[in-house]
Amino acid sequence: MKKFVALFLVFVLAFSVVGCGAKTEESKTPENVSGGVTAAPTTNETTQEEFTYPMEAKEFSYWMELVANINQVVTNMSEAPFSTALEKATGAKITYEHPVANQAKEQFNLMVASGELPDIFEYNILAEYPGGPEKAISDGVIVDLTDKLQEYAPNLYKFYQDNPDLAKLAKTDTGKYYSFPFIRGDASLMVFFGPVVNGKWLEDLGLEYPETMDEWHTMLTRFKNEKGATAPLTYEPWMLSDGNGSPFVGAFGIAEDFYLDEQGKIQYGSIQPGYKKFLETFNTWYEEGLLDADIETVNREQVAAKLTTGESGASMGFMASRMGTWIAATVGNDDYNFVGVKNPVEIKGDIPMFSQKDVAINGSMGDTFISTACEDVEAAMRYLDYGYSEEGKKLYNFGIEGESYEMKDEYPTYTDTILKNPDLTVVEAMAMYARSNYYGPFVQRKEYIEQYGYTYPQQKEANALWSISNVDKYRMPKVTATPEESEELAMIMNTILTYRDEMQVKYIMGIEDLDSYDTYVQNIKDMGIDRAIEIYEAALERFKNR
Amino acid sequence: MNVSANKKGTTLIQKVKEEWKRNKELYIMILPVVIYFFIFMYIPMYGAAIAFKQFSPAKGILGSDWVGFTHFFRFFDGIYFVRVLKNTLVISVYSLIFGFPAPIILALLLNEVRVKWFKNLVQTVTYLPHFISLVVIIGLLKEFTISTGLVNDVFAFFGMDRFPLLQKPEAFRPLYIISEIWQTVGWNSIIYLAALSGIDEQLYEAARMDGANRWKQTLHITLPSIASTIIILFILRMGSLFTVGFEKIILMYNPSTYEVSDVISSYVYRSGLLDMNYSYSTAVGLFNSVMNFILLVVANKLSKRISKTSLW
Repeated sequence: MKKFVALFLVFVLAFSVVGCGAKTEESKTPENVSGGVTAAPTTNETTQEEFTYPMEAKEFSYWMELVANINQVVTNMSEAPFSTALEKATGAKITYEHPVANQAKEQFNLMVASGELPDIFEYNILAEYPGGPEKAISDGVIVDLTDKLQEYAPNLYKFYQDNPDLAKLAKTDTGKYYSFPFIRGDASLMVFFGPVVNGKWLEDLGLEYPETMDEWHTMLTRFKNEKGATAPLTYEPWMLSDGNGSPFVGAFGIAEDFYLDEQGKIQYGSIQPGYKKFLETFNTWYEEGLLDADIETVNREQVAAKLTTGESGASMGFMASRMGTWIAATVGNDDYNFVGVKNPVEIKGDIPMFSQKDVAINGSMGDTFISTACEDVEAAMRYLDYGYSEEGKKLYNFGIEGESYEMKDEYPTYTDTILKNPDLTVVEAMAMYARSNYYGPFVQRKEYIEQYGYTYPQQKEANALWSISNVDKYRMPKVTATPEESEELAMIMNTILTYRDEMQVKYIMGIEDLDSYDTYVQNIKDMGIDRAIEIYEAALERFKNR
Repeated sequence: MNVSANKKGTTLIQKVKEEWKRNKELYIMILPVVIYFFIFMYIPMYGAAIAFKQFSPAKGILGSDWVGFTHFFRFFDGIYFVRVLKNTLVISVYSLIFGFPAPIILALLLNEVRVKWFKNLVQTVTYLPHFISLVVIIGLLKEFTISTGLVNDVFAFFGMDRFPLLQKPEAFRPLYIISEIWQTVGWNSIIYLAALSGIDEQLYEAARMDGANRWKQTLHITLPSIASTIIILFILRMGSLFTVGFEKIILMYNPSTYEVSDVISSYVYRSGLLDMNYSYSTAVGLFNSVMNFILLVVANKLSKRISKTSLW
């Protein structure tokens, strides 16, 4: 009998052990991404005719992810004061539906497949829907807004008229408008990532902020010799290859991936002569012990630990989640003062060609769509257009006047309900009253970040220094490949990126000698990089003609 | 003996009725399990069809266009196909060779311990890691193996060079397997301990009368008694030989160890990130499952022939 018990146990365990383990991947999208906006258009009252908010009562279902900023406080968006205020202002009654956390993708696909769509939804169609917005329109999932925009979304339409470059980012290659996007307008606030050094050490050693790679070398060497830093430069490894144009790769006039050269032609950075120079430099730094020996394995916590204990003196990272944390951890300690410095260049006086800078409309977060299931598309457009009106921007950014913000000398100032709420954190309180600290269908204003983003003066300074760059000229625009092409592209690039990342490490660590660089370039060509560039060229052409 | 079977001329319906009457409690007991498997394991299987289709969410699983074996060929033709297949198998086989006997040995050792509190202590200590999240385990591993970490401190003490182990391709597989054994050995030994507790004490007594020492007793009584448990578990394990979970790999690897650490699942995970191609991922998953199924059947056949123990 006991044998049976044992066998039974075998089966029970064999089937039950499966469900363990969790997955994490360092998110490559910056959290606390923020950006404010001084909307370029000044006033827009004159163009509007008789329509005024609130409109006559309408009901819509609205599907969106309940973000971490707020999902600890409420279980449905309708419980937030923001929703009540928005309803009152627009006149539309909204029934919110939220996917289970982290299952938005599955649930969205299920909704689409079953044809039971909500009237309005927020989703990353651009990246998550096979074939993108164009396909979503032809599949009959979302409504093509192009013809109705001028009449039923006058505020958004006006914004596009005033900013034709940005309008390009919000339409498909065939010129269709498909969403109510999240818009960041103020340039300085699309910049939130760059190199950071310990300014106190610079002061002690009588050094200026480093500008060229040679100055960086000098600085790191002195950090090592005179400050006893065991890993003078450290950073989270994925940041080196981040699509935003890593500071160090960018110093050699290339982005690591695709970028536009002086003639406006698409190039792949990782096979350029500049990339070889970068690898040589980093190999030297690695051999000399200037680059962290653990560089491929360090994570966010370890980088923070190294920086705040004097093992390292330089790094790169996000303004709030990285730099802010490092500063906070060393407040009152005279040995540390983390400051942002300019993205390095090769020749002194040059303006960096590459740096992190997000686009005003990146189409990934907070893109809001009207589905084909919506019976009153015009009213839904009116409702969504509110976020781009002057009044709407205030509500979306700051919440309710007199409650969550007050106008002080024309400046919307958050009240203590937000900043010193006894029951909620600032993040939560803000998310209860507004949507400025994540995303949504509105124009984000810079007053949000001015009051909330710069906790320390160093951050404001860093933002200014990181903003010095010509990246707008060289950055690859956000183009879209056709569905067939994008599949081919993905297959090619997955192979190439695996190889590139592997070789990059080998070259930097000196496992592979740089003499083989030509073979490496040839291998990447054999893997089909020219075809990938061709696909991008075609996509770029379509982008330009939008 | 089965009474109804002896009666000639009974119809099938009568047999079923008879059987139901006699064992209805058992059938009722197993019903929830059957329903569970049907709903959660069999019904979703039709979704595997998208491996042969070009899946489009709007058309749904059934409505998408058929593309035959395109996705499979694309996977086989990939430059890294051989490498990821090899890595998957090597990691799997290694963890089978080293990881499979570990809980057996632990159970046997625990079985010999006569001091009760010590036995309990060891059991508890070895179970514990099972309950720690994988993310935390790998976090610890990373902390221990960086150049300034504990492991390197030991190396340095013996005069060796410090080196971040997770950047060394040679060290990846041992680290993967050792940490796996550490995490699972205690938990997996429970099954064997249960089997061990079922062995008749009289057998040992008789053996002692015949002058068998502890070692001989283990060899001739304990091991044969739990052999069927071991074999069943072994067969089940064979059924997942092609499966190396991507979670642990992805947490542990980095480009400097791709050559030994990139497995099928992690490769597909990276491809998936780039092009969210559901059909392609499903095709690779299906390939994995078919290979596993073949191995399972073969292992079962072999075991049936050699040891007369089998799953079915």
